[in-house]
Amino acid sequence: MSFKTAIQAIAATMLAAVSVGVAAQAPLPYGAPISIDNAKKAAAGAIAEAHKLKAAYVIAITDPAGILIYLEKMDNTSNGSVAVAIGKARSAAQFRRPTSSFQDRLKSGDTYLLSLEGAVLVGGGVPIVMDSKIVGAVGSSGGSAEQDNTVSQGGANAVK
Amino acid sequence: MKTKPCLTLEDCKKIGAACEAEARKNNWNVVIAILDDGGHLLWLARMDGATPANAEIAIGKARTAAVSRRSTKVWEDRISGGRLSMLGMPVLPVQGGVPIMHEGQCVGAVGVSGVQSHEDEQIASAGIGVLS
Repeated sequence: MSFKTAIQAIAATMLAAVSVGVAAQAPLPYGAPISIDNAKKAAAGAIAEAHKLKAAYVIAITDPAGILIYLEKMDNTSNGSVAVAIGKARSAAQFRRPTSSFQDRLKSGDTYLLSLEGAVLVGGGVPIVMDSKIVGAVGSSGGSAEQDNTVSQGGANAVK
Repeated sequence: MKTKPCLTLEDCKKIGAACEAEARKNNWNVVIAILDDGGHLLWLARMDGATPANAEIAIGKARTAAVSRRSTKVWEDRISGGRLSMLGMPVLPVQGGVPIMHEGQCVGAVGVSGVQSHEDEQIASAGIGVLS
């Protein structure tokens, strides 16, 4: 291998590593907070998923700072689910990633996540992305962590 | 055993829609929070232009009205009347939180924040009015 080819090979490998790293890790930038109309649309998308599961749910929509924009508590949902749903949405907004990713990482041994201020490590919080910007997040609580994640994803997809 | 009426999500949406209509009619951007009689959040909407602080305040006013079974104006008036010791109570004594009464029982409350306090209360009362 000539010197030039070797350098090219190293450069190509580094470039590939960087692009994979960027694609897998760098979260999207924040955008302007989601409007109330779109927040209601997102909540309706999540509620539709909850109906499919025949489960009672709290759905919370927050802005990028994690502050409530819209919330619905279905009849017969546990009172505790209100704070849980808001917490998941806040975590997804503030860390710009779904809470299910924290749950997976915790399971695979990243126990230091437990000391991350404000992080919720249970699936069910999903960022809302519009025009490649994070404009808020959906948090839901009422079923298992996996079900909650599906419900919130349904909400985020409704305004994509 | 005693039975008591209970707000449904449908009731909350009706009240919320009436509050939003009253606010929109006046070009006001507010947060509307509806809580049950235990102070648990059932429904909340932050209209475009209302601040994050309004979300916290609306919930605080509604919680005060829900668990004390009286409008927050009552608390505000008592304190303005000189009962400063009431500042130590676990309440948010600012007008704009109104209990929802049904068949003589308190079933929850509406809290509004975003404009002047008496206007916040006007919005809350307009919402509760749809139940009767």
